[in-house]
Amino acid sequence: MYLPTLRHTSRFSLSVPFLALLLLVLPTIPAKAGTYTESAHGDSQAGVFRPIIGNAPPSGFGYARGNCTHCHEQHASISGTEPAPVTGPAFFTLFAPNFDRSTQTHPYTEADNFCFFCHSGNGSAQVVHNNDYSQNFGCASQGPTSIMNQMNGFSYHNLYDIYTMADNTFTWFKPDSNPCNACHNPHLAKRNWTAPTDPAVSAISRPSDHLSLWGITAGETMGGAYNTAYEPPFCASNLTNREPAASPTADAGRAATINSVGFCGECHAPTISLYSTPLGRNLQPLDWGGSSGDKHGLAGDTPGITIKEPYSATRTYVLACLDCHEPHGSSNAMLVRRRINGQEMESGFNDLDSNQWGYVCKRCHMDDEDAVNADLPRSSFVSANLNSWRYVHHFAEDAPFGGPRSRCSPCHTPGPPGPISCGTTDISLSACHGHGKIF
Amino acid sequence: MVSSQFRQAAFHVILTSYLLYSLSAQARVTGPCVNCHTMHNSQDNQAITTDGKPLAALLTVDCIGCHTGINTGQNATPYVFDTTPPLYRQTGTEPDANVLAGGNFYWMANSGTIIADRLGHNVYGLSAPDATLTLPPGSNGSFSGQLRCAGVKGCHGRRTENNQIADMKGSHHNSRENTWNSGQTLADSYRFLMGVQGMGDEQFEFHPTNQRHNKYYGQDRSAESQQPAGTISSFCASCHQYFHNGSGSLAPSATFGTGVWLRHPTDFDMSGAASSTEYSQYNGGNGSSNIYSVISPVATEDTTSTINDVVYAKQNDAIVMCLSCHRAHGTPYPALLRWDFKSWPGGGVNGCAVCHTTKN
Repeated sequence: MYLPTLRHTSRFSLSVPFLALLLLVLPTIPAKAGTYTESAHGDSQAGVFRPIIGNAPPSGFGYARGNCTHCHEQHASISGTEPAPVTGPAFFTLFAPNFDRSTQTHPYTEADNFCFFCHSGNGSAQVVHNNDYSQNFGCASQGPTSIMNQMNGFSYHNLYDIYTMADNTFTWFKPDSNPCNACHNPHLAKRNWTAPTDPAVSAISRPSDHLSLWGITAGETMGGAYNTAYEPPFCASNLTNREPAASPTADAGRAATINSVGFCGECHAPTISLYSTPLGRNLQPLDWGGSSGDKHGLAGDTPGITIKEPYSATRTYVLACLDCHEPHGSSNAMLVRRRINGQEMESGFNDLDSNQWGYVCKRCHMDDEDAVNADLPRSSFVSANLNSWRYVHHFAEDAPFGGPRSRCSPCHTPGPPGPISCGTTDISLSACHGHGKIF
Repeated sequence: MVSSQFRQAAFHVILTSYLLYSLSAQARVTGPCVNCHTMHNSQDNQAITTDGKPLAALLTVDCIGCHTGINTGQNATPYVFDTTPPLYRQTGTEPDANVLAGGNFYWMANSGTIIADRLGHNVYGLSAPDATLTLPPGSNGSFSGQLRCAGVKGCHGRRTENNQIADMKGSHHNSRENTWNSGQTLADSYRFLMGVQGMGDEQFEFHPTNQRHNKYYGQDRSAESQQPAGTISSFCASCHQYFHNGSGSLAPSATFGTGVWLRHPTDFDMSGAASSTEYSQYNGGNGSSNIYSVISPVATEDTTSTINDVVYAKQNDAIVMCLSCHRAHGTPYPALLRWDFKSWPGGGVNGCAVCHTTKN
């Protein structure tokens, strides 16, 4: 190497005005809004961290926690090679394929969905634990510990169906997008479980507004949208506080409950047909807003004395979707939560055509056992049987089917002669009750 | 008193104008021949060159020898290598930084570690070959050996001669800064990169501003397999093929621009991106005459000599290029990045957010 001899001499000296001019035209870095760095993934203390990217050399490349490179390999390689997992170039410059559309039903594996490289409980890229809604917001004990595990439960939000719906509906959603992104913006989503009573610490974005978090404004909470028409369910087993996460009062709870009706209703709307691959049929359209819609929506339930606290027999309510359903998956059918209104389900259920549904209803409505224990008028006509519903149907003051045997049909087969005796063949609760049903 | 202040102010205005004019006058080699050449490689019976052997074109020093020094803003020769630590600061554009558009080889050359190999191009004469890489990242295997400044293994020059100096013949005496280089001749090629179009800032981006900077040429491609002539990114792709237009694993042509990317795009205008609208907020703007960023610059299809001080003002003037993120020679940061991306978000700088405005 030849060392230099400075050949070109100064033509002038720096001057005060020249420096002043330089200062006037200094390049500036745009002010940071911090949306990504405030997200769960971009958090410099708790964000994404793929060891082969983040570990100090030579075992890694030394990228800071939260850095884009933990998920995105800008050139499908780093320093000339592709870090593990070696899957070749992937869309969105992700380190692995985004979503395997050939996987149309669960059980899912890590390779099926990019997010599962971390959100599978034992992810090969990063171990991330995510409890279910019942635990994070509903005071339940420890349940499944990852999103993938939840989605591998008995019922689940089918990723292929979400993908199909989003791809056909939302312009920002690309053929190579990830179905998780229909509800989550990975660059915005916050770690909501760290502040379960603050809806602004949101993990979700409406598919029609992918670049915003849902839960930020008052109208995006159940309290803001429905005021006292929404009654937050109990949380702790002693029934002294409310969801979400043991909010001290009903007002606090409704203000802190994210408006899942407004969120889920973007897809689960009365005018949208949603096909369910696992069920092999279209889902029941939901109408939470119309006067002739679902009874648990604005149309209102029928006030009655067989309601449980914190609900009152004298008025109607609007329920939140997440009062009863998990967003990702559940050990129960139809993503029903394992804990509702301050108590675990007495029994799980996985038979949609059975009376197992009654265990869900029982969390807010009185079955015969509850009626007897409460010594309600005429409850002596029934036995204190769990998940038996004779009292509410036939003996309560507002029972819809009180009266003579001629009214056995169509719910029961005609029974033998005798007072108030019908056949023993019961029909499923779901035959009369459920989304889209008027009872 | 007033008259004195007025005279002082007027003096400063005139002086400033003079300085700016002087800076923009010319950058081709000027001055006595002896500054660069020696007739007999001899002075006082001593060889001029360091190793005593005469150099081609009667030069007294080679590429590295002439281009080593500390940039002050006054030097007409661009210094790309410093034997002492240059001041880079966060982005190399700060008011007390003293690096130029290409950065500096110092960090790569002065550590001797594997990590240092990632801080610059391992140019022959400045460092040993890369201890890890045997081929350029993204290479299709067509380039082998150690990179040189010029010649068949180099970036500058015609890339046809083994001798670097011979490969540069006719360049330094005929260069033109602050006017558009068509790429037709070596002297009329941007920074003597044969065939590359562009317009070089006469101060080589020492303390650049949106009104004084290199003007890079790019093209808005319609397929990833295209290698448009004359763009700076195509030039980089002559060694780093797969990062631009290589034959392996390309984004489908049918969805180029409207779909999603397998790799970060280059030679693609951000206004055509269908995957997001965030790019219209480039550098804090609103999609109309956004201020050009010297931290994360973009190329343009505009081949006039008018500086592109704003972006989203003409068709295809917001073209992503390799140099949007990287500097050609070296920086203190891995992958020759313009900013300390690796330390972000805990520290460092997220220059990516100049374009990826919703990812800050």
